[in-house]
Amino acid sequence: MKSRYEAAKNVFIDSIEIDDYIELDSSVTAYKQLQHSIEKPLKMILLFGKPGTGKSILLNRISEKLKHQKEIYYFDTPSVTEKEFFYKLFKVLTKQDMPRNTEVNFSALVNFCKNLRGKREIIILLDEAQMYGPQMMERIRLLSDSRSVKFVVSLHKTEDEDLIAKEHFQSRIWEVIELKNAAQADLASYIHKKLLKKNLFEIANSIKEKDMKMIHKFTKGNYRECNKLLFTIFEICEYYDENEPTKINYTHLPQRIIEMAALKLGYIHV
Amino acid sequence: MYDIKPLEEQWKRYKRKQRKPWYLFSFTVVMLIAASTIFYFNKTFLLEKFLQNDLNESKKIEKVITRKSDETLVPSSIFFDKAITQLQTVPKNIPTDDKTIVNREVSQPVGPYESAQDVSVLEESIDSDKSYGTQPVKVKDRPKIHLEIVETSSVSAYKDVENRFYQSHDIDDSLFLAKSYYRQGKYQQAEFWALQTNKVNPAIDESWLIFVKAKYKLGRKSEATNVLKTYINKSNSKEGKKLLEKFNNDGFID
Repeated sequence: MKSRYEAAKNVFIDSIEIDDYIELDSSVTAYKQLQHSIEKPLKMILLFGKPGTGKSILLNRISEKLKHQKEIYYFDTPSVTEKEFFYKLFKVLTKQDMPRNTEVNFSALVNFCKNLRGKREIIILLDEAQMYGPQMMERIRLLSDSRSVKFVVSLHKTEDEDLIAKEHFQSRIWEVIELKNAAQADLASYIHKKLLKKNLFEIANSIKEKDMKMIHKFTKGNYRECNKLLFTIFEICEYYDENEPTKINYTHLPQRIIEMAALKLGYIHV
Repeated sequence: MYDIKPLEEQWKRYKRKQRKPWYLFSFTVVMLIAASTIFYFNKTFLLEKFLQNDLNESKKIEKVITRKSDETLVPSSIFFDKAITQLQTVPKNIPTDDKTIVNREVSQPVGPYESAQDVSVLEESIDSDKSYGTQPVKVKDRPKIHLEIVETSSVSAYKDVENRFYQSHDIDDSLFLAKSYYRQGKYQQAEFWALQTNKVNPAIDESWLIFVKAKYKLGRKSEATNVLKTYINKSNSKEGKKLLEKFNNDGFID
């Protein structure tokens, strides 16, 4: 017999699947802000925030939502080489695969983009843009200057990455959207909605406000860390449910288990 | 989840560590409370001890003088009849917060001095409206006088007693002052107040002894001896005789 906690555990497997997207007040605001920015005649939009603040899932969601209305492309994984990136870009722009043993002539590509102005409006969502080197970023900027290709660049917010953003985009980026860690209320809402989405009402109700406070304290409101912690919590619960049911309270998630999960993940130390 | 047991152990260690400051805090609080309690009780004990000492000191000078009313005094023949007065020292608990003279109950002032002229050693003479005769003088009936005297070091308190004496001529006041001053080494004042006591009532053994001892201490040894001899001749005082012996042997220290 499967433990009731197995399903709960799986709810918190970290993914950027659109089905896993949870509408929170903060995420709705960010979504609307990004959508509004895309509507504007801007060349580049910077989306940044700490890892795990929901940048990727936001890009994914906006890509899914707008794909039938706009020519929008989501580059979820960064290209390792410049050649790979231009292959992908060539395919997006020309809607054809690049012939083998050929290379992209960048000047020709820029000219091609300039010719597209007024005919097509292409939106490219670049996730993990911190992986692109300065030269590549410079080329992306030149392409965006053609005004037919609009880039939404998603960056991790670290000191180094901020530097990249400053150096390469400061004068070109017309809109900056920052995603922040969730407040306690948002995080609690996120956890509840995730569980309720899978009809795990009892488990959702077993996590009380005090537990939410503790979870928020450990994860600092980071969604990815929250997913990890909840996954581990329900993993421990699953073990007790199957092997030592006396050690678990089904109506109230024991704080001991939250602390054990935090210890396992290194949020706290002995 | 295969590492649940080590994780449980880790969690127990974590909780112990987390509770450690609370244990330390609780221990500190308990220790502080205990220390405060001990300090409080010690303070009370020390205060009680101090007060007890003070009380003992007070008891030394506390007296309840009971005067029997039916006794008579024949000044010419039995001038210093010991039966006239009976001194009793009765210990009594007195609160000593205010180290001044408290609760003095004197029902009547002591009668006027009646036989000062007969005492040759007196340096002052006072008028008396009654002369000594052969007729016995009946001492007025006196109710019991309860006198509670607490020793004080306050100058103003002594002044108060002196002023009161001048108004009431109460020998308890003057004798108190004589004793107090003598004990403080103020022999001139002790001599004066002993003399005042003797003027009012020349039959008080203690007052005469303080009078001569003060003189002796002031260096007037021959005068002290002469006065004492005169006093012994009249009173046959045992204490006086002992004192005279000490004077003669230069063994008086007191």
